[in-house]
Amino acid sequence: MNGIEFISSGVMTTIQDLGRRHSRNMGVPSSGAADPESAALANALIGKRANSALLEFTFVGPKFKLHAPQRLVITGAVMKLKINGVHVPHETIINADAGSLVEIGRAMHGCRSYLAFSDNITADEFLDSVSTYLPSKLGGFKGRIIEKGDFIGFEERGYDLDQSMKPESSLPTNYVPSWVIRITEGPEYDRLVGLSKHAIEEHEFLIDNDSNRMGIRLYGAPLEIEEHGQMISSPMFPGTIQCPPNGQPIILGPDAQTLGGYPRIFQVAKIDRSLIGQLRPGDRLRFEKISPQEGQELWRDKARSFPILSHI
Amino acid sequence: MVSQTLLRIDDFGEDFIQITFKEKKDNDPYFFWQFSQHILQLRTNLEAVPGEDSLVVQFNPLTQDRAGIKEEILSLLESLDVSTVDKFERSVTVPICYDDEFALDIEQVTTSTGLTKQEIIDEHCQKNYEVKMIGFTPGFVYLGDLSEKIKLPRLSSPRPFVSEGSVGIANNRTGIYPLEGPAGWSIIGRTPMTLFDLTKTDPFLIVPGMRLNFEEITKLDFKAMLRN
Repeated sequence: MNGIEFISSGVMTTIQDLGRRHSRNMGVPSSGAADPESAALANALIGKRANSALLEFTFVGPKFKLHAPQRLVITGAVMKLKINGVHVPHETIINADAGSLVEIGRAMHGCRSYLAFSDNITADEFLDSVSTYLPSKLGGFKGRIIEKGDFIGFEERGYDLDQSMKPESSLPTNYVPSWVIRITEGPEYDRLVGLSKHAIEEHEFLIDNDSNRMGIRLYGAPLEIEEHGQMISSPMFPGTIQCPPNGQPIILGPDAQTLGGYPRIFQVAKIDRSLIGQLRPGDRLRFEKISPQEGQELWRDKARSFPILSHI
Repeated sequence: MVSQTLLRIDDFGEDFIQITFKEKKDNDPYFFWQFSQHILQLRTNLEAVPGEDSLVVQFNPLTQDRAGIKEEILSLLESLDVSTVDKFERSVTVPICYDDEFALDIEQVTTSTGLTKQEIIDEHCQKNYEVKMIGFTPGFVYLGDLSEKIKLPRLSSPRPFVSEGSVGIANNRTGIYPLEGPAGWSIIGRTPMTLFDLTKTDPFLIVPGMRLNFEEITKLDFKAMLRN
């Protein structure tokens, strides 16, 4: 049978695509790749639709045996890729024979990588997406993370080739343990007071260990916020920055709750929204506030070089 | 029909439009949920997420124009049939166990309200609730209104983990956490019922517009029902 046989699982390996659409009004999070730019790039490099299913690795990748010849490419955080013991450069397409042993190493900076295959991988679909949403055990491979011994099949039929989005160069990735994330004002920005409102750039935060695909908890000098837990529940999205009364903000990730009741003080700008998937516990982070117009210009400029971004 | 003159439209970020009522008195969570359904049915290129007093529409800033989207939303409002035929007609009963093992915040609630544990249970259990909204995680429903006597704000720091089926209260709402995960509401009980069931054709057991009653069960009942 054609497919991928996992010899080791890595820390948290899941099947993702670019996420569910039209499900948030039923309380179902978008999910999908935590770093959608890197995921879309992997698919574009291999010549597939941006939304095709691929593997997401976290911190440390898996080791697996290929039971069919494949073209592969890895993007996102740099994790050393070896095929039959030979190192393959990042963001480079490689042909691997059936029977090849593929080993993916550890990320030193950033935390998530994406591996795209030329054949379509089989996965469970829910509401038109194969993205894994672990809390509800849905999508992906049986709604769970990949474990040692699992076998993921390749679909018999060929894949939809789409070379039109193939980028000339790769997206510049420069992951460091000290991040500057650009943000715009959220609907409850005015609940912030004093320096927390007027000098958010001065604050430095640490990424808390208690972070996951639902949210990145930040730890630092508490923000001053006029909030006593009485806000009316409001829509939340990946990239929304919530601030509970304790003043420690939370950046919502791909598995973000659809509704929440803590003030939405900021929204991560489109230009940096994919970086949420690369923030790792222990990293330092600062914010830089920009206007929605500046955000729009930055995003448009980037999309001119990488048309694939229009799918994100 | 809801007139556009009652609504207020705000922008945020590069890709969001928020719709609220100008006057608080006009607010209706069920309207926002229906409106979101209507938008999603007719516009596959938009996201529409309702809140309790707002609706947020997300668009693609590379392929869509903000001003154009606003006009579209207003024209969609005109074609929205805010039918009230089914509103709060269907009813569902949900078993709940208030045992101390599950009621993680009951001590705190007795302190804040000055009520005894039994009084809190009575206030919570004896009310017939309207399902105001669905959201947060799959299957989480917002029920209201909660008795004024047990109204409390959200926790100042959300708890990182509660068990699935935990029942919480916050402000004028009570709700059931269908999944294990983080929770910002005060937890006073737990249900063995599955609110989001992927084995069913329609996995959503409870949706906005329904009514809901709680029925108190013992810990023994709870364990027996969980096994089934």
